[in-house]
Amino acid sequence: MDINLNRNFNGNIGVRPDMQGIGGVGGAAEESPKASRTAANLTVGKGVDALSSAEPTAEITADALSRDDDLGKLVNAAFSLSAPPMPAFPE
Amino acid sequence: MNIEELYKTIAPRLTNWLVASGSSYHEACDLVQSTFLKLWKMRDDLRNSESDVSGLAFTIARNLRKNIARDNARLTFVGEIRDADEGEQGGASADGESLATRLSTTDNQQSGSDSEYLRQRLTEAFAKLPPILREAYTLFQIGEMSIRDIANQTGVSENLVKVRIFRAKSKLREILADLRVT
Repeated sequence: MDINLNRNFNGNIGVRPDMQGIGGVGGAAEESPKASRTAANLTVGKGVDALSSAEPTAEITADALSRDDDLGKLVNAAFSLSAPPMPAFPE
Repeated sequence: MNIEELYKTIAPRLTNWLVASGSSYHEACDLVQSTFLKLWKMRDDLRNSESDVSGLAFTIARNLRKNIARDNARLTFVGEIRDADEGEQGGASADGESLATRLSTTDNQQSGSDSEYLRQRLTEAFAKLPPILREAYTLFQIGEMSIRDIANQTGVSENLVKVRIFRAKSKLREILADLRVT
């Protein structure tokens, strides 16, 4: 039997909705590839590539890279372990 | 090269970075000390160069850790010998306090504290990041390295380092959403 499997934009293998239930093919319904790509275009504006490529660095502001935001403060608070004593260095 | 000044500056950052990137505190301490012993052996070369000692220290520590991971069986064997040696010497260090005692004291001081809980949560969150994002972010935030130094050390462009840090922060905020990190 010819089972029509497709990949959606996330790379997951899904069974097309119109093929579900045919010849014993079951499982959870997956969004069709076409519908997924359309959704990606609407929300991201760049389609599939936007999900896999780097964001334009011009949009990464200095604030976005701040070490002193809430996340940075949290990390610094968590990782404030003291260093071991300095080893004795041989002459 | 003033090794004491370098140690004061680099060792705390290196220790915390090693813990954040997967080492236990005890392993991190061993790695930091081994790293500085290597730097000490290289001191004549470093004195006459303009190399970034901080970046070099992180590179050495990372390579040492890779070696340990690669040869874990050997590490266990060496650890047994070290334990036996410490037993024969009474476990005393030069300053009269064994490293193990000092570390356990530190651990006790940290136990039950908010920082221990946060460290556990963050360690788990870091583990969920792709390795390249984790490396860039932890070197930046905990290692306090510049974008340029991270780029040099990881062999990618500065822009890509920025992207990786940005993505790591975004993912960490998602993972740690319950802590209301903004």
